Amino acid sequence: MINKVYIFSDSFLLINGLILFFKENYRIDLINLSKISNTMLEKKSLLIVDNMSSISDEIIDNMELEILLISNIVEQKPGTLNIFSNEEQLLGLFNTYLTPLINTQELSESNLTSRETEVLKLISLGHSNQEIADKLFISKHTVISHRKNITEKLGIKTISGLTVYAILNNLIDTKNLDNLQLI
Amino acid sequence: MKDKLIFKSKDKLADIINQNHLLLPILNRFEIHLGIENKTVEYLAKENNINIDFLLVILNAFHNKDYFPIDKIQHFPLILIVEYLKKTHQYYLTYIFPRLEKLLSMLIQSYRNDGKNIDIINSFYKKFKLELLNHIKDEEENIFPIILDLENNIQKKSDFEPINILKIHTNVDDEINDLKNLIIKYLKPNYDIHICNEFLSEIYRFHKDLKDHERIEDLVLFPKLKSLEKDFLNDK
Repeated sequence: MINKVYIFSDSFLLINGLILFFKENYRIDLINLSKISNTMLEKKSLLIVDNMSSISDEIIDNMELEILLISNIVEQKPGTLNIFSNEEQLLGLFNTYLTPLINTQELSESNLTSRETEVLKLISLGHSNQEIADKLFISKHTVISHRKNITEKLGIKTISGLTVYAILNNLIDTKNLDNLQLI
Repeated sequence: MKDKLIFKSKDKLADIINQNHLLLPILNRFEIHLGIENKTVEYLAKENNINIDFLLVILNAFHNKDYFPIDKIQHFPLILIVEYLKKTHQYYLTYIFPRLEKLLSMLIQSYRNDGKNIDIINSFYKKFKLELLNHIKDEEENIFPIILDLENNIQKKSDFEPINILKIHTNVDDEINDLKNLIIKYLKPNYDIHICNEFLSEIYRFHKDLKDHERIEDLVLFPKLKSLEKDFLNDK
């Protein structure tokens, strides 16, 4: 199980892109390190680096770290994070590390991520998977995977049930809409 | 299965009901009414002109979800099964729906503050009911008559087409689960709790009955329909 996720890189784009990605998909604060040392790290964490020479094997072993090396080579290799990955590929990669962390959070609260909330709103307004994908600039496959997570988290399966949830939680404006028509 | 012994013909019906009172509406579907003294299932079946084997299978299958002797059930004439399913439809239409609606309207009246939320639950219920009504109507008007005609060999239509079973299956089961979860998890409890408990209990009872109903259709009625259709189309 991963305790924290750190990044050590100079790339403004990478750091802020990943911070947003982790917040939306895992509700985790990605920690941006200014330097790598034992005192700044928590044991059993995931560390994303763009250069292997910035970290010693000794720290990796002592702190029981998992390392992901940022790479720009299109071919996906284990232990690397390709900077051209789309959202779906990133989810595939990080789910292998972070699933336990998500699950323990789910036990206490079933809040949706902001991305999932966006998808839920669009489902409630009657949009198809393809329309949602187009609106959010993600693939249809990612939409389906978000839908699966939403259903699992909320315990609500049908579209009309999800619409009721959205209305109960004021996610969509129903002032000018007839309930029955919407549901 | 250990603590769920199979009911037998020599069992006293009163003992069976004492074990599982949810079987009461099932008995009504067979026109067995209370005041049954210490009579056995066998005795009551004879007295009321009921097929004893069919009654026992239905009671046991409802009581124990692991019990479903498909071989046995397949030998019953389809008219028995269809009549039983029709009786359950009647039970839903004349008792369950009015009962649920009465409780729901009491729940709505007891709701304090923002009534919008409970109104949405009401809309969801209405949609669920409408789907189930369509399902019932389709079975009674289209599917059951075709099944009986096929069984009695009086299906003559030259343009006969096999029934699309997939179309029959609706998402009623998912919707009833959603209805429960929406109330249990997400509706603010600004209502009379006792009324809400009663409403939910009724929903659970209904759901169990519906599942039993669907099981009979999926495991017996529809497979039998498919085999009758096949025979019919081959003979033609």
